[in-house]
Amino acid sequence: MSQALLLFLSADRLHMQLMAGKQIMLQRDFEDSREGRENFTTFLQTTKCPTYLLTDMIEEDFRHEIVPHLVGSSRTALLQRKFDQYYRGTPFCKATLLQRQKTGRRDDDILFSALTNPGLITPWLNILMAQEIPLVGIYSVPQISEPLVKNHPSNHLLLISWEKYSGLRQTYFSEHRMQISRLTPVHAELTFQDAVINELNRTYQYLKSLSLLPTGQTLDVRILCHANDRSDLLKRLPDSDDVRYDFADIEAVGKQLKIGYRFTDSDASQIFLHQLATNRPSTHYANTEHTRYYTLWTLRRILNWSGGLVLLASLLWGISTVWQSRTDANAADSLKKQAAGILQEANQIRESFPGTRVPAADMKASVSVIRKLDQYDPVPQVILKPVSAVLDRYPQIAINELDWHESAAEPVAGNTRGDVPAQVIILKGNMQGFGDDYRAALAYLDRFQLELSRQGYQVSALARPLDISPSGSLGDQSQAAELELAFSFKLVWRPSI
Amino acid sequence: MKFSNSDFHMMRLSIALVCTSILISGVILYSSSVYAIHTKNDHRTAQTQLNSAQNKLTMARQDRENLASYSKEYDALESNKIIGDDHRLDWMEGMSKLRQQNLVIDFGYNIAPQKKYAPQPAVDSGDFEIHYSEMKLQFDLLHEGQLLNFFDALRRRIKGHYQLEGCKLERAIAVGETGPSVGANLKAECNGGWITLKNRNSPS
Repeated sequence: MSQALLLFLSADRLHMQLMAGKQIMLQRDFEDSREGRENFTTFLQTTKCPTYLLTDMIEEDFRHEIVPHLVGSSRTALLQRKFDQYYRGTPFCKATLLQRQKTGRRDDDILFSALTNPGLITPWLNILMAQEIPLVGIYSVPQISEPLVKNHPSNHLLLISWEKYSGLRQTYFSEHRMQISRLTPVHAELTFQDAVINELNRTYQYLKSLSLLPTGQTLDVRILCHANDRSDLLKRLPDSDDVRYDFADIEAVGKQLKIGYRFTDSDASQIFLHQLATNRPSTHYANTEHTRYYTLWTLRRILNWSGGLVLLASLLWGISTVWQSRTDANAADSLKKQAAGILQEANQIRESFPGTRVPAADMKASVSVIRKLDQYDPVPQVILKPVSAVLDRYPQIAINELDWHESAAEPVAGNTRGDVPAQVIILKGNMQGFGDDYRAALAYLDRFQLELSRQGYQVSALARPLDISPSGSLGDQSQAAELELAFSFKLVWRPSI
Repeated sequence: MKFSNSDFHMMRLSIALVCTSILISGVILYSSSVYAIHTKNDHRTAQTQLNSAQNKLTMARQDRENLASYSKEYDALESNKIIGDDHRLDWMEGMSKLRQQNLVIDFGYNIAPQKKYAPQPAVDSGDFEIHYSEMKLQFDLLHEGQLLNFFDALRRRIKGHYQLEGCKLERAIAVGETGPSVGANLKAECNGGWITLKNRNSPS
């Protein structure tokens, strides 16, 4: 659990409490004396954690001013000029932008404030810096009060609180923005109730005199107090049309803010300290030299966390990579085992082969070649016998020449194989015994051709006894003793599929 | 705020810590990536080994099937002297024996020098070269049946593979005339060649 050191500085003492989360681990008070500061120095030697310094002093000044809206170095120079003008004697000054005006030049509405007695702060601050304590910032109670009234419906509100070691704090808010704040020391002979009764009327008159409270406007007063003080205050506060009272039970506020502290009186110090630790404002009175060690502490934390995160991220990445790679490694092992098993099976198969000097692939290749060539070279009987059989049935046809050869160039007919060469037969012959009966001779030859076709040959006539086509020439054959009815056929045969 | 030497002195441990963690992170990232690359390569190699083993198994199974399917036929090719070099003397002796059998009236032959053979359509011959020794035959025949019987006998009785590619038969004489040989009615010329297979990898 992260530790924090909360310091509450009043005019004459420093209250210290060491927090672990929201729990108070240790509380001590140091008088504004040499002994008190020495004790504080001794304490700080054992504690080095982020430190918040909350001041509650009379010497805090507020100036409300409208300045031109500037940015960058011009704004810085303007603010520095204003600080030099108003608060030359103190380094603890700040400017808070309340709002930007909505009309005209849209100037900035700025609240300048400063802790005007640095002698009250500097001794303690020097101790913090000497001990290299990471100081987060220097804040004031009025600055911390704003979140306590942000939900209040009133536009003119006076918040009254009591801090045991500093006194009665009255902070005036107009439209939820702080305008002025007053601190009245409460002495031992003056009770909280007496102080409220006495100071409230003065503050009301002061606000009227500064015209901070418009004429006829009712002032809402919220008093942060313990339930025990509330009834007494109710009896003693004067009834007025100009002032309306509202009581905030300090115990209820403590519970609402989840503060682990038991409130026994109206001391609101714990409320403000808790607000500072959990909801610290963005602006404060410390400059960069005051917060040097906090800046270094923050940088160290960033470096430490960055180093840790880099290490963690790389570790996670590495584990993830190795985890994913394990899948590959396991798969590789499995594949190797499979490969070894398959190789063993292959070797067993090879060992079972009979001893032979010829590889099986060569056996297959040579046998396949011869099988294929056998298909190229069919037995002559298969090709010629059908021709002989047909010729036997046509005795008037005499074959003079038969030329048989292979040809791969012949076109492939349907239902025949194209992967073997065609067997081509050229038949040349003539017909006898027809006298001058051309018609009978040609019909005889047509039947012969048809019969050959039926045997599976593609038959085409290369020459016929008479060319009776329209493109042919015909001559007188009456002088010839015997007609020479010569013809020539081309037969193409391929094995069927 | 400006940093001084004392500030760096205060932060030295954190700077050392972040540097150390960056160093360790680098080592972790480098080692894990090297391991990942190694396992990926190992996986790739194992996959290659598996593929190779599967190919070897497939080839072994194919060889087993080929041995079962082709060994007898291959042995027959070897015993018929089709594998290897020409056996021209065997062919001549075989032709002499055929002549003695008087299957045809007369015949003559001529064997040409060996050459490489390119069948049409082409045949995938694997590691073998197909050699071809052309042998042309001339016949005097009584009838065409003698020719068929002659080639039937040639194939059965001479060791080798004779690839018959075609024949041309002509009448020796016109009907009623006397032929050149006694009783020869037909003349024939046939083309073909002796096929042998020579393994390219075997010593010549």
